[in-house]
Amino acid sequence: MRIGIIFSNSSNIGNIQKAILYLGYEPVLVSDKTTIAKLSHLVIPGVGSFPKMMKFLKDNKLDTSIIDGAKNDLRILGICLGMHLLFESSNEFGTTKGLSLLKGSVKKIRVANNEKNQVPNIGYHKIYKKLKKNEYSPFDKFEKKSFYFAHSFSVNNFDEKDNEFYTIDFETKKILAFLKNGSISGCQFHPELSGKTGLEFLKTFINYTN
Amino acid sequence: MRVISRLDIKGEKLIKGIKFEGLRPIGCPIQKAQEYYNAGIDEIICIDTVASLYGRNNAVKLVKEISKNIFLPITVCGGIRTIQDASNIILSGADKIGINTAAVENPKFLTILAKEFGSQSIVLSVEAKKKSPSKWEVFVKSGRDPTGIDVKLWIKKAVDLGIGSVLLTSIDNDGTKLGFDKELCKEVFDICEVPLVISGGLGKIKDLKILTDNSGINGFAVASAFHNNLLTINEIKKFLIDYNINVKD
Repeated sequence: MRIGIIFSNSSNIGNIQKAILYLGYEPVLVSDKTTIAKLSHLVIPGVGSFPKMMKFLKDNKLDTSIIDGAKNDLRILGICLGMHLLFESSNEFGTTKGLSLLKGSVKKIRVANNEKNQVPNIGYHKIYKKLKKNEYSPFDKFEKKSFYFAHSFSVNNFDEKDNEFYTIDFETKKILAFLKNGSISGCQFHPELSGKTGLEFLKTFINYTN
Repeated sequence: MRVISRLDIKGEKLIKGIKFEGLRPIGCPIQKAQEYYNAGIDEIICIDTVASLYGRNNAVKLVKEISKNIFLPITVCGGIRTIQDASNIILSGADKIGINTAAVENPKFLTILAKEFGSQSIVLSVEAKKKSPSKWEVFVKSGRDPTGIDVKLWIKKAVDLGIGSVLLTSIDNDGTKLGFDKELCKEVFDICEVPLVISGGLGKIKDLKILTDNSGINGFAVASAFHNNLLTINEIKKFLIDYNINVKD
């Protein structure tokens, strides 16, 4: 097992690195493409903006090596902005193309005028599983558990049919919280900031067997 | 609803005063933070109380220590004047930075920070002192210096400049354990278009009633009431659940 974390100057990797260390694994920081081929797991964190992070991946040719890795069963977890990058596009500061490993696009959360004080969405929400109700998943145990969110953008038009996914109730709408398609997964919340539940989530991502 | 432990720090000590004065050392912030984490706190705010006054920034080392075994959101306020200061704080384990003095001196700093780290990471820390009915003044440097700026106008402006949330502290109620300044919280809540965290005065469980009336308030910070064992996290969560307010389990 070899776990990598994408490292760019604008991403806050300290907390995720610390969490994985706490679980007993020694994560490698990844900023060049050759490392990715040697990994079993890749975490893509992200603070900053979608265009900036995408440019970083491209400039360092990490985009193609992540896509190659995905074809070879590299187990990927995108967190918050890192999750957004897995999808087709984002309209954060103009439209930017993403890695397109998953279907869907990222848009600013819109709230109606009578809904107050909620964007950015900052705080804990319980996540609820949608579809594939009867099919076992190693992540089932997180149904109705609270995770910490801090974001203004969310994933829209994702593929609801073929994926395991969880949402949160946000005002009158539902927002994608976690989606898993084979070895590729992304969470809108920050497991590294979600206390013991978050640590358990990371442990599950690292250890589950298909 | 976020239940937040507020740690006011001077040097390496946890301190607490009343109305921002008579600061007394209470213990070790690292130890206290761990204690509150184990008891189920949702979030931590660290305030370096002397950073702005002396124009220095000591928080990095301390935040590194505090966050070592704590996997929660941590906001750090005090003495953050440059992108580099902010970056150092975030790399030390915080996920949000709170700005007061530096924003009053240069409001555009808020926009620069929001562009660099994202709005969700930028907290406007407001120290409010009552002037007349429905009027509060912004204070800086840990409640020491008046600015002549109106609290509500300042918050509106800061939201336009890109902040992602507000930490509102009532100087008049801070440390008194007489409850939050209800009027202040309500009036700010009505004009604030980003998540609002209130602070200053919590002493008794019934002080939390204000949250059941203004259900959109996003969180509240607790200092003396935890430091002096007047309230427990369990008791607070039970109260909120009874009022059907969403809390972290």
